[in-house]
Amino acid sequence: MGLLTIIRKNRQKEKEMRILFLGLDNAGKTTVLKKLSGEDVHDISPTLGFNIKTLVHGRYTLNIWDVGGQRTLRPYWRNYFEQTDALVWVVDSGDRMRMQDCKEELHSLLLEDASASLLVLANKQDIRGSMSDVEIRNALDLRSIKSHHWSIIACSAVTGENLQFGLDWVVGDVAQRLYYSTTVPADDAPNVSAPTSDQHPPTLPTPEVPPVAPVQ
Amino acid sequence: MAENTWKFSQDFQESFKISRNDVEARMLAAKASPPVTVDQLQKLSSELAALSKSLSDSLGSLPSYDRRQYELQLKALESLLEELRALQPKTKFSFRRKAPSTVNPTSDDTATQPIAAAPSYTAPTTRLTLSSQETQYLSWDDLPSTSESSADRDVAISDLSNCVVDLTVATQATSSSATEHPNVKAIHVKNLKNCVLLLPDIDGSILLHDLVRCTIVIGCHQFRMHNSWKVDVYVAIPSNPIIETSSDIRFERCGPLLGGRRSAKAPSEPLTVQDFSHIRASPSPNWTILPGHARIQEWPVRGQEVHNVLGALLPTE
Repeated sequence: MGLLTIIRKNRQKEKEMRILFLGLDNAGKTTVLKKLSGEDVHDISPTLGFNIKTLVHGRYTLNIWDVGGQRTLRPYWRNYFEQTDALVWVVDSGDRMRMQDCKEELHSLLLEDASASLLVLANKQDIRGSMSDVEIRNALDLRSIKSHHWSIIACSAVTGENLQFGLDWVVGDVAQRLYYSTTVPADDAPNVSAPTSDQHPPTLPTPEVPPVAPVQ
Repeated sequence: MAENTWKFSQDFQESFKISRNDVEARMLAAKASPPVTVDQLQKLSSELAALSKSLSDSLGSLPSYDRRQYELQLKALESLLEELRALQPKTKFSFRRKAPSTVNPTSDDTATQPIAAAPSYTAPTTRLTLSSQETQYLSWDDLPSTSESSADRDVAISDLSNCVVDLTVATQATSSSATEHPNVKAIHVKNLKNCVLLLPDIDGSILLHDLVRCTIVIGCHQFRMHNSWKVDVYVAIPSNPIIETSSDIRFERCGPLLGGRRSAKAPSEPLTVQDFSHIRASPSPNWTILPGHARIQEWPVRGQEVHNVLGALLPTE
């Protein structure tokens, strides 16, 4: 029995997936997560450390990690990569000024991230004037991505539009890869059960170099 | 009879050995030069199956010790095949064993790049943008009028210097033209110098970058400021404002300012600002609460010279 077989069998028992939500600050990662778990989305503070939620989606248990996107926090993203099955990259579709930044962060992330499924959420479509999914696909140069299975979905975390659809894609894509021998038609419609939730305080390691103050 | 059996087992041993060695050799070769193709794997696996069938067909005619040996050899080959499977490029798996497509119209494509799945939203033609101005008084009149005034909109403000931007919802004489203003849901600001921003209460977030010596009045759910210096912020906010790589920033909860044009919906406890450039226990040196003497009491805005407004409202140099 090869190692992969053992891992796979182990996974079959658990039916668990670990999904990482990343993106620039102000993208709406926490709002997406809260909306998916049926919580109020109107009193969300910027994420200082990270949030974890466990959702039941169809036959799978999803452990979703939502990590803050401030520039200072981004170097710590890689600490969350281990054993991640899918990456959900959340984009503020109205943030035209930072699309280049967004593209660079995503592509440098993909060099290190080993999970094979990438879902880009073109969030904030409820706001008129936001970029469309096609515009964002081009702005982020998604077509150049060969290392990951990817998809982009336009959504709104506030209205909830397309969020389940996006999650279905992620779960389906991961399931095909990890549990390919056991995937069955989704006769059981995905449902989101009562989530467990914690807000974690920031647990950042002390940076080796203190953050530099801007030049005045 | 006994001789026949003996002869059979001798012959079987010969042929089994030849096929076994052949399969094993090709498996090892495949293993030495990954990636293993699907075709290769299928061929090897069907040959292995044929081998194990020939063994099970002959089991009755083989001595038990030999049987055991053959079975062990087959087992070894099976585990080798398993290793080969593991060497396959990952993506191959996903479509070789194509799972019944669930809700996933995109992954039918065997390539690693599915096409956009969801229906595209049509981007509106008019974007609410104020940019590249100098020494101007800017208000709703300078933004393109939108036909859908009720829709939630995003306002972008960039590359201004020495400007006053007033997007507060007017209740005074100037609003008699009765133009409805769009409902602003998000504001993005970048690269302003010596500007005063009087912004409405929005049901969303504001994101600011690269501000130098500005004064901002805003009501919002979330406030994030990056790479800025010397900014006075009057904010009505339920969460904690965020600053990053910024310094000399002064905050004040904004109450009923601007002649009653702003409701004080903020909690009354003192404002706490999260400075991501100073993640320690000690207080951040990059921001302070605006001292009483520096707070603006009078907001002389409309009908005034831009220079006078800037002089009165900007932080002192």
